[in-house]
Amino acid sequence: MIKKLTLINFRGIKEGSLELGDLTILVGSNNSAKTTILESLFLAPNPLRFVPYMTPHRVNLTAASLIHELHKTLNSVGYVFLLYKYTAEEAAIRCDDKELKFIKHGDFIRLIDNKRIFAHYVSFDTPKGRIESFGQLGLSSESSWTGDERNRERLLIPESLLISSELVKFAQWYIYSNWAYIANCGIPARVAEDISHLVNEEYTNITIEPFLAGNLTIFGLLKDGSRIRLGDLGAGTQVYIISRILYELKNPQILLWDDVEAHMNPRMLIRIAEWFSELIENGTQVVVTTHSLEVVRILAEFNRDAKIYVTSLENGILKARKLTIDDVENLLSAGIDIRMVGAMVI
Amino acid sequence: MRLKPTPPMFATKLTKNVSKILKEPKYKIIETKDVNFDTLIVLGDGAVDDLVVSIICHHLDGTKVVGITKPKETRIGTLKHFTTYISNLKISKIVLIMDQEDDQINTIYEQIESKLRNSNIRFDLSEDRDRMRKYNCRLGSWSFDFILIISGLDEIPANKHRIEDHFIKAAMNLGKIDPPNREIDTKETWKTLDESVKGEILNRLKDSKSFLREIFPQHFSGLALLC
Repeated sequence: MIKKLTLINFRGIKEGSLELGDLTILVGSNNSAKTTILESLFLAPNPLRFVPYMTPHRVNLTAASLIHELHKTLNSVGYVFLLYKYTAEEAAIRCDDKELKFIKHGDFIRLIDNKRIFAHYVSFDTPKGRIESFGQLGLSSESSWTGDERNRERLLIPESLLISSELVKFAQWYIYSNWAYIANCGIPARVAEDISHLVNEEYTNITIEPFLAGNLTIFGLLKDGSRIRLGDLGAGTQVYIISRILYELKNPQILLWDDVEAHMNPRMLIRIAEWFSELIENGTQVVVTTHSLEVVRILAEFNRDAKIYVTSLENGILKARKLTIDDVENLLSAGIDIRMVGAMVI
Repeated sequence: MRLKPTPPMFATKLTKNVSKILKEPKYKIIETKDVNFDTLIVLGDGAVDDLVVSIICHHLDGTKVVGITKPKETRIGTLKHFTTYISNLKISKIVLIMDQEDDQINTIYEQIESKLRNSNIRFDLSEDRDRMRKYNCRLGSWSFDFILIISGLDEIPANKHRIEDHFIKAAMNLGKIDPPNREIDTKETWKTLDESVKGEILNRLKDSKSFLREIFPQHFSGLALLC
């Protein structure tokens, strides 16, 4: 389990650290670094590893390229956005004693780690001395490179999986492309059974079949034999199905969920909270962000030891205050909503 | 002075109410950013108190941001949260605005002081005006000022003295209603006034600082201590 995360010059965070628990819940105003924290934990194992997401053109995405897709604006290319204010010379993600560094060097951001766990390193001379890099990302180009394909399989920290409603479309393409494996692992039937407890219909399986003009579509197979396209289900149901499939497929030890309440009805949230507590019991670490105090209450009810943080960014410095669910409730009954006074409670 | 509402639904109500009468200066009065404040206004009653505070802030001007909230509890019941405000927000000035209702003023003071003692808050009375008191308080090593404003006017014959007494006085002064010759329910009287008359009164309060001061003397002097 990652106990302490420290970020330096990473995206909007100049400096900051956070102690993580089995379940960590991040609450805060917009632009208070919550998503950045999740993204750092998603990149930390290895930015160059392939993750279970694909573009509509069936291009496998790496952790770094998925984050790039999420932040892509207009024709923007390159990974300079990983560096604080786009100008920092280097950035670091430190998980306990393991550190991943992004060092600007020429037209590239070189990736280095402090544990030398990768299969292959390339040496570079920089003004600050010689560095041993296991891969690189283009500073202002989409290129990425790893000296040896085996480097993609090595992980600096345990595998992490990022979930968010924005990622559903990327996950769908991955699921299409890997359906035989997913289906033969029995994942769709298990997920269908689970989802049947949460919606009014009863699903027996999830399938991929032709819809119109021979185009394949993901369907929920109902007990009466009829089918409903995944895309026609509620957005919350789609996110839940996708996240369950990806989780079962990848078995990450760290599950990251951005805006967990997005599209979710309380019934679904209760199931998610219950699922999180099952995961935690089995050793998975969960970190979520939310803008909803209802979510904080539901998650904390299932996991009384949850670490609840209110985060705030002040001139790039990440500030966070740990609260218990009782603190949150006391403040609420006193007429103070932690989401409205983020900086104050910190 | 600018107001930073702390619960979302209260912020919604405040924004809606302020928009009605302070269209242009709305964002001069309501702070929407995530900023720190060291002063908190606690409303012990709900109906129109937020509007009164907003109009006074409009006249007090300035850039100081103060928090404003309305807890679930009413009147003296809100004092139970003072320790939360101090320990979590490090507030150095708390203002409580509450209606007198049918209590004697001295009874309210006694109840307030007893509540403070029960919350382990030590206090000294440092200012005592008509329906407005300022206490210098200490909770542990933390010092803070507590300003108590009790809404209501003796000159209005009301069965319960409330913030609406002040609006009725304003309506009388502007010749909108006759002075009552018997005890009235000021809340009900204010509620049943024509919306255009209410609007006229609120506009007058917004436009004339001296009129506002005359109608809400204890509120004006109490909130002026925050600037």
